[in-house]
Amino acid sequence: MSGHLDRFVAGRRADRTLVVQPRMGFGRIGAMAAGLREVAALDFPVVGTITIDSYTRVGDHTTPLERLAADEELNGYPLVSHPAAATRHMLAGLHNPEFPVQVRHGTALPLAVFRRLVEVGLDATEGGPVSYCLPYSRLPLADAVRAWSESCLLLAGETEHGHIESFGGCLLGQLCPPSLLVATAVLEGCFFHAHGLRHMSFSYAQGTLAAQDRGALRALRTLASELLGDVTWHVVLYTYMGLFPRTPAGAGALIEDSARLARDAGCERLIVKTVSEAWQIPSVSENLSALRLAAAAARGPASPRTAEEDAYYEETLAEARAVVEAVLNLHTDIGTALTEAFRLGLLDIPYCLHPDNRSAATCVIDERGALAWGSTGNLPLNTPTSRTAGRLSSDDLYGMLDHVAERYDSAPSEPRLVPRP
Amino acid sequence: MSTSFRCIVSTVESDSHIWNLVYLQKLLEEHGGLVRNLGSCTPVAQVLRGIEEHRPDLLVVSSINGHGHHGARVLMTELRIRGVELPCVVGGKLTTSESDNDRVRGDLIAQGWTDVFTGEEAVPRFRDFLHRGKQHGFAAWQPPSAPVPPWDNPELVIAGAV
Repeated sequence: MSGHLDRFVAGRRADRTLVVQPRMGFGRIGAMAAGLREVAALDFPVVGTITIDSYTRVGDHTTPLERLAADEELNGYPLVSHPAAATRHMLAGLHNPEFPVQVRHGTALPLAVFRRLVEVGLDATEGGPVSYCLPYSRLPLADAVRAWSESCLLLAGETEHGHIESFGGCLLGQLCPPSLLVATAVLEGCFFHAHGLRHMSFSYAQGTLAAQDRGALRALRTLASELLGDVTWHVVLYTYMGLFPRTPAGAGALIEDSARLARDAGCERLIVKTVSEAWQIPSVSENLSALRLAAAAARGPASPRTAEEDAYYEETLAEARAVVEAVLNLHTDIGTALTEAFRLGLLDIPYCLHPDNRSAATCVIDERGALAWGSTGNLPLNTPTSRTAGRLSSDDLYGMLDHVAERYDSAPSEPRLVPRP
Repeated sequence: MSTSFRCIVSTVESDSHIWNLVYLQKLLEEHGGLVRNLGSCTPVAQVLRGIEEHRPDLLVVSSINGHGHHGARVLMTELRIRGVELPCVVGGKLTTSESDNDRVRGDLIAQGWTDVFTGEEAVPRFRDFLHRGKQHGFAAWQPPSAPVPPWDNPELVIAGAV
């Protein structure tokens, strides 16, 4: 047995159709309801999203209503500030087995959000003690671990089939070697499991090179199967999360390539960006267009595996496994193990400014266009590194942050008959 | 690399983005800044404490989540209440729509921000600001005036011209 999201995703997997999902959230109940209704009306498999605003993310539940009263817009739905009854009313007739709704929030201390999502009748959300603390908050990791323990136990206790998607495969969204993304996603899965959850998904953010991403996504499936065999899980790919192409043609091509990557790597779900992403918070119609574009691009048979992809698979799997084993061996309590691992630098997120992150590990884009270690710091890896990122200038860094956007913006806008190498 | 000014990099409390802060730190260091980077989701109290401890010549606030306009206003209000006199600049994506840029820039400069860097030209303009600020002092900077669209020009609105 499972909840709406798991059943829906399993059904689409059976008919080999990619489920697509926007990142949509609006401050006002009317706008949020209208957005969800329009997404629900699409004629291909789609999951609905309520993305929380960033005041709610930091636990501020009064400012959202003040800003709305001052006639300003919010960048998401203030789930905790709006009355529960109003949200329940909004969801009535919308959230159903054919249109599951997931709450996306970004909070390091998620208990208030979890309580409210349960109260309004939802059971699917996302995040994780590491992935929503280090990149998205300045709270001590140990506090986030405690809060996530309590919140996971609440979700597991109060819902029959509570589902959490680990955001560990996204972290800072770009410039992170895939092995660390895979390891973090699986470790957060182990954390959810230890706190009673049996339904989950693992995220992965599209990187800079398709062959590397395909290999990494296979490595993620292998590790998840090994470590979380008694769990219902699926994989969710995120369309490139870094600096987005500024031209409509470039942005569209990147969205399409992310959908093909999801299809080729057997991902069940895709979180889609929009063509206006480089400029502003997208509108409903921009979200709908992006979802249509992605769903159409994902049709057709998967591309066969390549030797290049196999090499990336082996490399990513070996590194991710080394990291996961080193962390799990630190302590029988997974929360303690995660906190200890960051203290020791066995987990270290490149460029992350959080005080609990060592920041000794760095990431570069290598000559193949793949994400590679600039320095491995104290990570339990003996991967050779060729460059030291200490010497990276602001222009070097910008060049890497802009690598994908630049490539897609400078590509000819005619439809491509041959996939990009 | 010799340092010629002290600087604090921060964002607003609701903003969790960090790449802008990592990039700005490198850029400021290359211009001779001794940088204390306060990281994402910076509470106002943390910025005030940073200013007290680090005694910077410049405060650089960067926000890209669309709530920076509000956060910057809150921060400047606090700085004013405490009588903190310090060149302060802010930039990024400060509201949920690019079309607000000129209005927001005017509003924040009027509130006391030394300059506001948004839109396509934000980084080149900020580099220019750093070059000149190092020579003449950041407080001497005169922000170039933004074009005011007629519907945002209070004189024209009051006169009933638009």
